[in-house]
Amino acid sequence: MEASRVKPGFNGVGMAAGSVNGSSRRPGPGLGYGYGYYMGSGAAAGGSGRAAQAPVDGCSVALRVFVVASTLVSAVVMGVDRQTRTIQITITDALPPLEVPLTANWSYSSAFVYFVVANAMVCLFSAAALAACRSRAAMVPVMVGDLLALALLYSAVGAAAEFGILGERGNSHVRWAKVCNVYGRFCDRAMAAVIVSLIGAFANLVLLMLNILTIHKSSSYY
Amino acid sequence: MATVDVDTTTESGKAAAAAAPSPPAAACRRSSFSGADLALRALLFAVTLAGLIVLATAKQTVSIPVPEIPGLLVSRPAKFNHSPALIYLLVAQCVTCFYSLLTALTSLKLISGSSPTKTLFLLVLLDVLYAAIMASATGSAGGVAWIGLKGNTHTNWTKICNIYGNFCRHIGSSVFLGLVASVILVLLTILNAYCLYRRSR
Repeated sequence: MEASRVKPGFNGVGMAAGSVNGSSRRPGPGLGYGYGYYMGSGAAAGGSGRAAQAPVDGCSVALRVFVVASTLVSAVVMGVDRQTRTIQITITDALPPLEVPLTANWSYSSAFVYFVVANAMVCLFSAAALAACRSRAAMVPVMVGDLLALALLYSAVGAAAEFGILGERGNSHVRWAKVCNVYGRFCDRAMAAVIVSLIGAFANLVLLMLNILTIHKSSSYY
Repeated sequence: MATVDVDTTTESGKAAAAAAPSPPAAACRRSSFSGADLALRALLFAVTLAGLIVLATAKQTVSIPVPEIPGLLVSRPAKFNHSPALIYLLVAQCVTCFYSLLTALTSLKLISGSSPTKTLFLLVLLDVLYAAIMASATGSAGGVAWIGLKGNTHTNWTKICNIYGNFCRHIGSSVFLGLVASVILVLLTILNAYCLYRRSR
């Protein structure tokens, strides 16, 4: 860490331990320099006015709201996904056809359960992060949490999409028959939930990259 | 399972040991994080390579008796490319393996003293991207492995791991290594982002 490139009072060794707490107490000038350039004018005004609060970037707030909405929608759509079909089975011609009700429920598949739980967790976390977006002290925890939420969301989307593909196509090698020809509406809803969640995951990725860009621009490397 | 795991741990251990001496005292000159960064990248390379090999060699042929005709055996092979999720995992591990090799070189360059003006930023961005790729690949392959292990009675998907035991051990090990790789990528992102953050303001 070269001391010449770091502003006074911010040498790396000292900051390593107390950067989170220290940053919240950091007064105006450095903050104005760091954020004034590349954020909206309203954000710059907010930043210079109150030292303890981070300037609010409209783009990242919009993305965050979008992440909350999309994960909520996909969790709810998947969570209420349920279909009962009555199938007629003819045993012999003499008897009338037997009616067998068949139910598809999201909780029958562990991948879908994981998907719903992961989406709900990411939704709750993003809502909490949205509430804390003005606090500078929460910046690092929110970023780490965003990263974990991203990994969780992507793995959940992967698992649910994989289950959906199995349901759509089956796997002839291990004789897993496709089920979406029976439960068409169920499959459509599950697919919609997966796609919405995937879009939310992309939004989360972009949000995280924007945050990294913000940090990069305020660093001495920029 | 035991042999595979022992193999992979020794391999990754060797790689980590090989990486540890390469950043000498000069590593700590710029930042003490650079050495950890390089070690994690070497570990990532070892883990993804091991997962790749374990997954690519997952192949088993078993003879299954035909219930209708007693005495007749049908040989049915199981390969990783029978499932799109496993192919995705293979590709993701392949790509991440190359990526870790390239970024280890970049990390080495940073250690040797060049100024990390934009490199660190790009590294963090790409790490996030690859963490997302590995996480989704692990999720999908883990999903299909879980169905293979437990089956799903509601959809009449029978479990296959009681028949293809060796194949399933390979798949399970590979999924576990993919999980380790995604954790390493998340750790790398946190490490480098924190490095960047320390320089901020």
